[in-house]
Amino acid sequence: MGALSNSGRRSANFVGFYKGIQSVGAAVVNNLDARHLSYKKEFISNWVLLSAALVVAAPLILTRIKDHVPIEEDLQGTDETIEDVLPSGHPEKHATV
Amino acid sequence: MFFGAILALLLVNASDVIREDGSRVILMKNPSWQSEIWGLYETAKFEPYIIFLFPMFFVSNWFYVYQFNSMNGAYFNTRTRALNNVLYWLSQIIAAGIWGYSLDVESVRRSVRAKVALGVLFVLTMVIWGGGYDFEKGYTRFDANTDFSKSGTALTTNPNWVPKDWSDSGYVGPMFLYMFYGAYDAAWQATVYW
Repeated sequence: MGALSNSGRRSANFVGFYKGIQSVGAAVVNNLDARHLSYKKEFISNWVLLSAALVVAAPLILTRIKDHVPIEEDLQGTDETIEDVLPSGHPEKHATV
Repeated sequence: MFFGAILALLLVNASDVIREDGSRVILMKNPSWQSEIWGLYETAKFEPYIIFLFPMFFVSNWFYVYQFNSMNGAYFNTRTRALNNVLYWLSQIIAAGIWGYSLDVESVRRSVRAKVALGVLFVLTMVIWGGGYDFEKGYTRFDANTDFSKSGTALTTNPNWVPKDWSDSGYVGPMFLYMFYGAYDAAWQATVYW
């Protein structure tokens, strides 16, 4: 999540999704446990979900994580400007102004 | 716990952070509760690729129930559970340190580190949970401490089940398995946050 942008704003939104969905998963599995799902099924559900989650995340990890994110992209969706975040004389500032 | 809470109070405000090159953290200067809800919608709309991470989000606490209830809670006696817990979270601390620093090694390009992390995580999933399967085969919910009425709701303790102690033979294997589960959790969550 952090590597997808340098924007604290965007990371905060990502983490909003993260914690929400994490809790949904925890609620579901606790309910299954309370219904006495067999240990075997419980275990297999873990293993399958973990493996599948990595497979689904692979395209994102392989294509969307870049070595550099341009500052304009980071500023999208916030009320900040380049002047707010970069000092005068910063190389990236000169490249964009 | 108290010490941890005090440490959290000492975190510097993101708006006061100035990096070595003089740049500041990009924040929402004037957020409102509407702008925060709207932000979630905007994120999903303009950056739909985040959906590929949703399964990783979803499963990131899923394994707790199996590990805490069905493994530690069912198989071991009280003092051994306590020991297991200490070791589990100790492994988390150590693994989070190692994993976190490894993900930030600057001599390797970030895109390469991401691919390596994915590969290692996949191997760990197979190795650690493969070992876990071997342990899981050893007992069932019915063996451990629960007995069911026909309706499947009533719980009674199985009188023939003796929870395992750390002095019993064969404890070392499950102990390391549990520690690796803890380390795996730390690696998983550190990767998602990274």
